[in-house]
This record gives sequence, structure tokens and C-alpha cells, in this order.
Amino acid sequence: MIPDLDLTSPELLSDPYAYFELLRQQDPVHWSERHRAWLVTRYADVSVGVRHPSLSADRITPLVERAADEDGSAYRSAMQILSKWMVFNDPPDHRRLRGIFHDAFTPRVISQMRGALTETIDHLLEPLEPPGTMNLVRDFAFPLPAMVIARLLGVPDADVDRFKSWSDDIAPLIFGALQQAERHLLAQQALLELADYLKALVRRYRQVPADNLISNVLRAGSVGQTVSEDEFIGMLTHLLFAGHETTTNLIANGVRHLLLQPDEMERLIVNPSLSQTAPDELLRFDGPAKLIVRWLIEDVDFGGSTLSKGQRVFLILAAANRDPAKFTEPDRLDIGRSPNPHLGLGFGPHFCLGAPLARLEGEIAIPSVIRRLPNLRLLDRPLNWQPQIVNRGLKELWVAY
Amino acid sequence: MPIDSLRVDRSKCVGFGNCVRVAPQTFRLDEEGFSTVVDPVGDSEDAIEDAIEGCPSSAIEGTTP
Repeated sequence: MIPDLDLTSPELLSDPYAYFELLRQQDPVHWSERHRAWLVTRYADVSVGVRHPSLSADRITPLVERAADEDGSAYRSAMQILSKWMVFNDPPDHRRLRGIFHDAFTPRVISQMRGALTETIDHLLEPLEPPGTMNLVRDFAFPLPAMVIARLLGVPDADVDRFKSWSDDIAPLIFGALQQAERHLLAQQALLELADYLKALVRRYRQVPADNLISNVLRAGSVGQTVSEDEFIGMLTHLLFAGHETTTNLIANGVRHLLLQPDEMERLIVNPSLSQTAPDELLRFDGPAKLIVRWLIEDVDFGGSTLSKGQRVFLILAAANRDPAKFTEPDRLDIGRSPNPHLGLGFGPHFCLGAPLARLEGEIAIPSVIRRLPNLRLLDRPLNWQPQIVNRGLKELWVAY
Repeated sequence: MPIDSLRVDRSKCVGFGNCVRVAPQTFRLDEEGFSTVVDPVGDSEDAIEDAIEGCPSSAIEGTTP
């Protein structure tokens, strides 16, 4: 009998891996009454699930339809913005939406940001005079991705703090939408304000193009043709939001594990070429996204169980990434692991659009921190995890340097 | 039986490299960062099928038997 544990309990927020292993071994497609969802934990099943046509990513349309009965509420407007997010769309719409970033957000384009990224990292680390202590999340892992995504899109530096706070405010709406569609007035308001802000920014770059992603996409001519202006704005709110927290958690979780495993940290310091494989291994070992949520749009036999239309599925990336059927010594952190077909960034049509940027940020930021601060160590304080099913993120990570 | 006429459409490939991760003996990223087929039977049929279906930009063409 497998216990039906709460994925947001303090124990499982702290360490979900033992439970995921139990599920994977004993009931790899397990119905959780508590979460009203199928928990899928084997690599083979998760990697098929993320591209299965019966498993829909569209969790928003039913909410938009329900909200349609309500008078011009902020809730309805907010849901309409969310309905444009790529992560909530299925093919073929998903492909049409994502297509506008085809040329503007590729590994080659992103690699040109290497210099600017290094500068931003130096700027954040420069003021740190040892000895001292800091909250690595607040002082480094959070501001870095925020500044980078802002600069990439063309948000002026002076406005970065504003949309950092919008992004924070929006979070409960997104994770709420995943859980029970709670109404968070503040979050709705923040999303609408962010959309208005981006509308103005798009107008500005339409008139006076500059060297940034918004201008480049506009120049390519798809906005107004294959996608509407509203869809474009919606996707931009998504990019800003997605660029924040996930990369923050990659950096913070990553630095933490290296500090916990000094041998691996030493390898990275001695052999700089490992900075290219380390981010993927950290994504596999303890990445920012624990799972992906899907809905069944029809009955389907899956991994030996019969799943019914309307039911919810949690494709547990963090469990698949520790599956011994796919990875040798899955519970060992090996920053040189290659090839590393982990699912930490998803797989298939929805594969993380920002993957090249996340990898580049991890590749530069993580080694920079440990090289610049040779006495870096974890402070003995209790860890406080974000109480979320989807994300694996620390609220704070206190270190001495 | 090998997957027929396996090829990467360079106009669609953006260079995410997922194919190289799941079928490393079959695909490689070239100097420009695009995927290219180095050995159409380099990996198991399942792995190559994963690469085809796992490509975020649907750039890999090939008929599975």
C-alpha cells in the first residue's frame, strides 16, 4: 500500500526524492486521491507523456469559459492573457505561437549575450568584500535572471525593479491556476499592469526599433500576421515570468549542491570545461521544475493503467530524472555526465524555449560564484522551500563568503 | 530495420540539441550549431524515434517502419 502523501508537506518539499522512488518502483502510474491526479514517475512514461496527443497542456480554456459569465472582471482579463501563454496551448496553436520566436531565441542568438551576461554577474558580485554573509537567492540568483531577461527583451534598466515586483505578484495566479483556480486580486492586477506596460513597450519599438528581442520579432513581420498583437503581448508576459524564477532556482539549487559535495565543486574549479555539462546535471539532479501538469482529453491506456478523460496527470520530471533504467547511479551528482538526456527542461513540442539562456546563465553564473568567493560555505540555517507542487525553489539560501 | 531517409531540415533546426542527447551516435551539432545526421542507424530505433518526436521545432524527418 503506497501512502498518499501531500507533495506540499514540509517533508516532501524538503526532499521529495524518496517518495518519488517508492512510486517509481511500486506503482509508476499512481492515482493520488489527495491531489486528484495520476503521478507518473518512470522516465519512459514521462518522456512519452510530455508529447502525448491525449495529454493536453490547455488548462486555461475551461477557466476562460467559466469566467465569460462574469462582468468585465479583472479575473476574466487575466485569464485571457494566460490563455496566450505557450505553456497552456496545444498543437497546432502552440506551434503557431512559438514560431514567432524561431529566429529570435535560438542558441546562436543567445550565445551573443555571453559578454553582457558576464558583465552583469561581475556587477552583482563586485560589491562582495569577504568576509561576509548573504542570502544568495535575494542577492544573486534572483536579480541576475531578472536583469538578463529584461535586457534581452528590451526593458530599460530603470524599469527592472517594477517588473520584478509584478513577476512576484503574478506567481500565485500561475500556481493557483495549476491548483484550484483561486482568485488572487493582486496577481490579476499585476498581470494586467504588466501587459499594459509591455503594450507600450511594443508600441515604442514598433516606432523606433532597437537591438532587442521585441524589435527583432516585430521586424520579422509575424505579429499582426500569424499571431495577433494580443497574443504577442500575452507571450511576452510569459517570457518575463518564465525567465525569472526557474533560472533563480537553477542557480540557487545548483550552488547549494556543489557546496554540499565539495568533490564535485573541486572538479568544476580545476576543470573549467565542466561548466558546460554541469548545468544539465544540476537540472537533472535537483532542477527547478518538479513536474508538468496535463489534462486528459480522452481515455487512454498509459503505462499499464487506464486513464480517463477529464483526469489530471502530473508528469514528474524529478522522478524520471532519477530513474535507474535511464541513468547510471542516478542519485549521484556527476557534473561531467554526458550524454545527459534529462527531462528537467521538458521534451518535445513544449521543450523550454529559454533553455539556451538558462544553460548559458548556469554555465557562467555558477562557476563565477564559486571562483570569486573561494571561502563560500552554507550557513547552518533551516531551509525554507516554496510551498509549491510544480516548482522546487528555496525562499532563502544563506551563505558565508 | 532502419528508419527511412532520416534527415534534419536546417531551415527548421534551431540547435536545441535534444536529438544529440537522446541519440548521440546518430546526430551531432555541426560547427554552426545545427543538428546533422552522422549515422542513420547509430542508435536504437526507439532512441531515433524519441529524437524525431522530441524535437521542439519538428526539424527531423524520417519514416518509422
